[in-house]
Amino acid sequence: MTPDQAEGKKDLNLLRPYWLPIFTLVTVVALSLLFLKPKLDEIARLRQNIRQEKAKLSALSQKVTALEGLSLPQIKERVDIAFKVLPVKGNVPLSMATIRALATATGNELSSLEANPETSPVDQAEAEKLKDFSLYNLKVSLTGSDEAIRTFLQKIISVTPLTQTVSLDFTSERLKGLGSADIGILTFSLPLPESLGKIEDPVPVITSGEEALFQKISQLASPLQPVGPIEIAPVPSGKENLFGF
Amino acid sequence: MVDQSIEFLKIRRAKTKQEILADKVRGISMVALVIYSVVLGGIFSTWFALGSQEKNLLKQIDVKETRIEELKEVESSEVILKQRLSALSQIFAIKRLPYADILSRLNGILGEGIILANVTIESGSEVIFTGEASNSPYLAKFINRLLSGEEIGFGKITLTQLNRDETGKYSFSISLTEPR
Repeated sequence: MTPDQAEGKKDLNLLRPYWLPIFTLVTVVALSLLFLKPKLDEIARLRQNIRQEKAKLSALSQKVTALEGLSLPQIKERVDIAFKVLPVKGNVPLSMATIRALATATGNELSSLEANPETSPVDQAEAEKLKDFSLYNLKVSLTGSDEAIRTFLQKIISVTPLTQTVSLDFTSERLKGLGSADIGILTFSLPLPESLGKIEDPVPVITSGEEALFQKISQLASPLQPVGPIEIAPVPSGKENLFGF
Repeated sequence: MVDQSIEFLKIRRAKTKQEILADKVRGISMVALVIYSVVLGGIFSTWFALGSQEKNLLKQIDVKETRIEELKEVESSEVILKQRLSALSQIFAIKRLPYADILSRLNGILGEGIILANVTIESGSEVIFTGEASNSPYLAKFINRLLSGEEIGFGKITLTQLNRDETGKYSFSISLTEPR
């Protein structure tokens, strides 16, 4: 063994007490970097998820409470009324039949009734406000006493489906005691909403204004006679004395 | 006696610098190992606790979602009702002239010698009516009633046309705008 080798071995012997502690420290640091860091990130992610899930659970709980507080038959009844007032699809024949019935009921004679979907009876600003609706323009020509025409105008805004008067050309013929009127009437329909939205979205709240509006529209009625179930006379069946003349 | 006890005393050799450093390094590594173990234990228990909390929350969310699914008909009916009522609010928010009311009010102020011939109301807010007056005093009275009367409900009243025929009758056209 050369003196240099002997010197080197002596140095290694001097470092021997540090090996284990240094190895431990290096292992601790390496494990911390390799193992603890991802775990800490995962914990941060879990915390964030839990925060979001708590908020979602709270929203869902409120929604369940709100939905359980509603009565399905009652809502269905209200929806039926709303559909009668504002149908899903424009039913021009029904609107025409309603107008015809109202004209007769108010003592007027209906001279003509036309559906005119092409022409817009509303101005641009109004058309913008009503862009979600399907609008039908009906042109009604009536003859009747002044009073009868006034009554028709009063009642046309309180029938179902909802109609609004948008123009009037009234001519009075005093000598005959009659008047005639050309009335522009607007009917509305609105398609169903496309989706219910996200499951955690809150149940829509009917405001007090909308509640008051519902009370108002529930007073609207159709002048058409309700059609009851058709009764079919019993048809004799079976052999009833085929030889009896 | 003293001599004997002196015999048992060990000779304390001062530690070399290297040995002190080795002790320090050993101590630090032990402390680091202990801290690491404690932190590791803490992190694991937190991770486990959070994991089970999340699992529990997801379970509760699932229960609520199932319940909402069961109540879907109620929800969709309520959404439709809300949509209808909001839409109807929009329709009713558009100001329309009270057509029947305007005819009644005009009839109410006609008075003697005045005949209402025609009333035209377009979708805006203008009412144009034409009529006949038997003579000028009747017409003057009618216009006075129209100007002074609150009941007609219009802010701006304009006499747009006035003609007199050979019999002395007046035909007139009046425009009413800006409802009060």
